Amino acid sequence: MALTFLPTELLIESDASINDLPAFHAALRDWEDSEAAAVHPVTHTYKRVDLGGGAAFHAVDLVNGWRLRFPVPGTYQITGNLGAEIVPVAGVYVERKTSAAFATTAVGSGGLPPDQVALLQAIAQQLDRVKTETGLIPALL
Amino acid sequence: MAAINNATFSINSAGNIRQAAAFVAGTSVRHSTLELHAWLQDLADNPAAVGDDLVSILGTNPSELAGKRNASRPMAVTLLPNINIDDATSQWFRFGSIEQNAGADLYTGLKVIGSLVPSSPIYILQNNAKLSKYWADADVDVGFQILVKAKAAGTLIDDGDVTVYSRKYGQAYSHFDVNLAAGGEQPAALATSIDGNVDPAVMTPVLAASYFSSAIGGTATPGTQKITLAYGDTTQDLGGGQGPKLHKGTMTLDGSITLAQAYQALMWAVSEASTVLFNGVPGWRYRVLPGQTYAENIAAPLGTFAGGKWFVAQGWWLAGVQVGDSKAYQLTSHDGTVQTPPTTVAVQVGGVQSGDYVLAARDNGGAILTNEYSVSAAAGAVTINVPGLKVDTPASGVIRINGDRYTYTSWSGTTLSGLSPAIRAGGYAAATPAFIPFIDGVASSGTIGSANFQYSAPITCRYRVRNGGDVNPIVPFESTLQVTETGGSGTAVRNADA
Repeated sequence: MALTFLPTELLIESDASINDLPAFHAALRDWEDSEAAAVHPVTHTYKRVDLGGGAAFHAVDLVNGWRLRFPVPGTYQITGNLGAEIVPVAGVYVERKTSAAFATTAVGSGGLPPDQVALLQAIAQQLDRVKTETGLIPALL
Repeated sequence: MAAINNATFSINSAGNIRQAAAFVAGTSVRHSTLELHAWLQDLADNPAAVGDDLVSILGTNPSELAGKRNASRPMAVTLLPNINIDDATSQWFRFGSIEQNAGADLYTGLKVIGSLVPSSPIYILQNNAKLSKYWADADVDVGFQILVKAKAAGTLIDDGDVTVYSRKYGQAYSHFDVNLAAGGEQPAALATSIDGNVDPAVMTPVLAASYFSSAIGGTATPGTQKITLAYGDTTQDLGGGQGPKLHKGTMTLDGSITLAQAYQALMWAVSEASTVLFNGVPGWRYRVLPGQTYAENIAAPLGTFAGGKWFVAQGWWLAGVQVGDSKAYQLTSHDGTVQTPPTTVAVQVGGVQSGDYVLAARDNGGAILTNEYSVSAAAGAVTINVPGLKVDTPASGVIRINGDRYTYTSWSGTTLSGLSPAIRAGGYAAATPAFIPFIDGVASSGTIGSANFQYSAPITCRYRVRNGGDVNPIVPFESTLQVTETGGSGTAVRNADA
């Protein structure tokens, strides 16, 4: 995903689908603290709410008049809670998927904490030992 | 006072009254002119001359009181007709005047009044020259009264004018103009006090003399002096809002001395012992900038030093002031306008971290004022004219032209110089919006500040701090701060943004 910023028009252009909201947020922030962007208003607000168990709720809302545009005709997806006005472009179809649960992201580890992994491994070992010793398949309630 | 002892003076057949021994200042006791008259009259009623005092009833009346006897002419003695004293003998007398040779010669009484530091030395100027002293410094403690020759051979000396000075280095100075033509006893009102801003033990006369070129009476090799005095018109703007003003002389400090040191050295330069010349005028009779008719600062002819501030005498332009003294003086131009140095301030933003981008500029009521100026620029230019460039522009910094960032190294008038990079290809058409931020760059420590600029009026400054990098990204922060005559400072709140 490559982003292009047109500050005089308050436009953010993307050449690909936006399926990783945290990465999209980071890319916007990275531009905002640049020499060129410092004179312009920030592009968005960002909220992340941990839901536990590694799940997080991410929300990005474009502000200060910034809008989103996919300049090249095609079909695009926006996955996650991205509040943005999308500038219509002929031949562009945008599918939006929102979720309040897990989000797959390349930002951060994305896995379970080490203690939870160790716990699950211990449970699995215990189940294997019961199966071996009794020949029964234990049921988890 | 004691009557005159016949052994003190002699009167020969020619009528010459002469001292038996020279008057010794501080030791000999002066006689009033009334006592002289009384002594002569005592001799004149003798049946015959006695000893070396050749006056008796056989001769003419040797003296008379002349004029109306009142407070201003308490004693005006006229010596008749050939009785006379000479200059040396006149030193023995005080309190009144002595006229002789049918009014052709006149010795007038001079009395110092006022509050003086004990033993404040007195010197008297006549015809722009110091009179040789025949008085002691301690005379002021008991009443300074002497006779000064005011007329010789029928002509008043310098119209009868003298100036009485007391300028002892370490004290506030004093002088008083007196006209002696009327005879009698004329007062000179003086006032001296200790000058707490002069420390003669530290700024010794020898050290003070070393501040001035030997070309004008100091001891410094020309070119190495710490204070240079120059004369001539110079129109200068001190930057305090009074605009360009004419000055008639320039004092240039070499940058290595404080104003307090300069003040002391210059006080020495106009003291009684000074050897420095001010455009040819000896410092000991310097009163105002040579050739001018300004109101005098009697106590400190080159300006008063008070409260850590030097109020430089009128007409002088001062250059070479150290940064630490940048506000510690004021000038008075040739036309009497008081000029104050500008207040130099800066904007600072704290609470940031290395890598934060900080932009601080004028606020337009909710955003950054990005159309502060309208400019045009040619491609490749490294200077730019900014019509209406404000005086409270940082000495160096950044100009944003249509959002594009250029640094500049200095400015003067309406021109920014040293642009980097040079103006982009294509340049900028007329009326391109531009603004000059106070801060526009990446912080390298916990604070970031602007270059100094001249304060002229309160400013609301909007500042924003951003960091979207991989390390310590923050929620973009934006706020305002007030720039006052003490500068402006704000603090960023860095909330994690991931």
